[in-house]
Amino acid sequence: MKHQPESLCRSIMSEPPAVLQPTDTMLFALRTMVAQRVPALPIAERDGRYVGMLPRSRLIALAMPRVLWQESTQHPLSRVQGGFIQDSLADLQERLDGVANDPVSRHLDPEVPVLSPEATLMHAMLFLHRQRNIMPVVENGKLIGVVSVWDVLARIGRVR
Amino acid sequence: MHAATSSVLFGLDPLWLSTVLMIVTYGVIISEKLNRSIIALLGAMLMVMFGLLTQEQAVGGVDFNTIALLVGMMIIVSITRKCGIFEFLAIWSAKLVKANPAGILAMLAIVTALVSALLDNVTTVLLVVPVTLIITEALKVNPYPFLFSQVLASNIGGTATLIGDPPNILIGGQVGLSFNDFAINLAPVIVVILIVHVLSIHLIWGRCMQSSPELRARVMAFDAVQAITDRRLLRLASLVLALVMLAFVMARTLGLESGTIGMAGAALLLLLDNLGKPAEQQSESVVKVYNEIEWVTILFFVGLFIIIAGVEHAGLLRLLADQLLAATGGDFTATGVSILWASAVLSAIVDNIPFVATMIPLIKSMGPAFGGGDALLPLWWCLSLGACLGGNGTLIGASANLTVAGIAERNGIPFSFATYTKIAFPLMLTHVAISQVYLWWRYF
Repeated sequence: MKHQPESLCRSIMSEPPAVLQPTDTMLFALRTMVAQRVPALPIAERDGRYVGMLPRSRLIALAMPRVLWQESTQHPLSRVQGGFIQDSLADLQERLDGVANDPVSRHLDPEVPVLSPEATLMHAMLFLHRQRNIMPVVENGKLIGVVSVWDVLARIGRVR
Repeated sequence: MHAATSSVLFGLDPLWLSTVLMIVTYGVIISEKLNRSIIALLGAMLMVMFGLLTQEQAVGGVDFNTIALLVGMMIIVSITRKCGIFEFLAIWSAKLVKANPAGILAMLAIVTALVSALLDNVTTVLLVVPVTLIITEALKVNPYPFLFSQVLASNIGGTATLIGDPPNILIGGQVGLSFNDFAINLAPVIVVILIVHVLSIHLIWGRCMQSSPELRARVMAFDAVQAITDRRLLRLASLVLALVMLAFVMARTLGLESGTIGMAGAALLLLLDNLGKPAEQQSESVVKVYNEIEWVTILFFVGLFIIIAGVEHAGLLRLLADQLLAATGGDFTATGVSILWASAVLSAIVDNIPFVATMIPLIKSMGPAFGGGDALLPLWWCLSLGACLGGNGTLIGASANLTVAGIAERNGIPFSFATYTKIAFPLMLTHVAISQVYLWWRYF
């Protein structure tokens, strides 16, 4: 089936608000994310080669006890509810401080799906539906843009 | 046996064929190249397809008492853990010793052993280890000694009761031993071994552990009560668990087998948990609970039962029993000692479940030589203590060990075969030696 060009990711995608380099620090990434209010940032080499995505959920996780986010799908019993934990702001800050100077490349989310520019709008919708907010569009290994929930809603809702 | 002989594939000797099939199956299980439930089921079905067993004989070989007990307890645990009682217990015990790291190290080992006596070992460590990691992170102490001691404690505690460890479930189910039989004969020595274990861990690690008052205050701030997420469920689950334990203790009087008790407990808790909920929500919660049943374990057991029925049918086990008797010169003490140490060393290296499942009919068939079923009792304790405690010897000795290693690695804590075995193997030998003294003193 041939898809109309306006329903392909190539025409829906937008410029990412910011692109991180693999050697940028986590603190820099956090500041950028907070300033731009974006759910995730793409990471690419200087020549545009795509490296990965750093979502805000990663930053949230890193401020928590590791066992809370290192869940095993094989052992549902090992999930801690964690209601008893009484960590203070200082405790959360301390954990995040511990990784503040790490390069972002160390904390990528390997599960973020990558879209090809030829992927259809529907294809992107399926991921957005499963709580992905923003996804990279990659062509020949290079990051050429992102498809965010706003790009898609704007297209469907005929927002100019 | 004679009926099967004629129908065996290509007219092959059933004894020879079933032996090869069992060795190949066990070999693949040990190599861990294939998920153990796949290979056990495949081996079992080949037993039937090669004509070594009829389907009816295969079904007859499956010990549904054991299966029912396993499934029943899995259902009970899967519902109970939702109320947060196990997290509560771990936090409460840590605060009881004022969040002193050496104290927590000992307390959590004891809690693990106690919980493990009532639940399956793997389940126990899955419940205790994550909370442990939160505590050690807050205290900034090395989590390894905690995880190490809990692995051993879970296997030690599990040995004390009928329902604590799969080998005991197997022995209890197939030999017809009650919850009380296990508690009376095994719990005393297990208490001693647990004390020795806690002391050894204290000498190796506990006494040099340090944490600052500020960090300890952080653990003291943990609110154990907040861990309880569902008070209604907590009350219901406690009630059902208490009833199940009571039924186990009074099983003889009530005339109930353990499988019935486990399943009845599961049915009752499912009923109480879902009573009054709308139909939609009921099916959702029931499906969730059933999904948490460990089908890998269940189908592994089913496959093993059929494989063993095959070799038993062909006469292999009687042959092996005769060999073992000849080797020990028909001496009862020598037989017991061999079973204890052979089980311990083998269980440290290979999965103890197939070993125990094979040993049970083998020991049974030695019955006549030693004067009947009741005279065999000490041999069952040798098998149980050897197989359960032996599992502590190496990282691959028991499923709880591998489960903890997996959680540790995911959390960035190295948990290697060599470092584990270096300390665990001598500890295991000590525990088996204690058992040897106990058995010798009490039964031989």
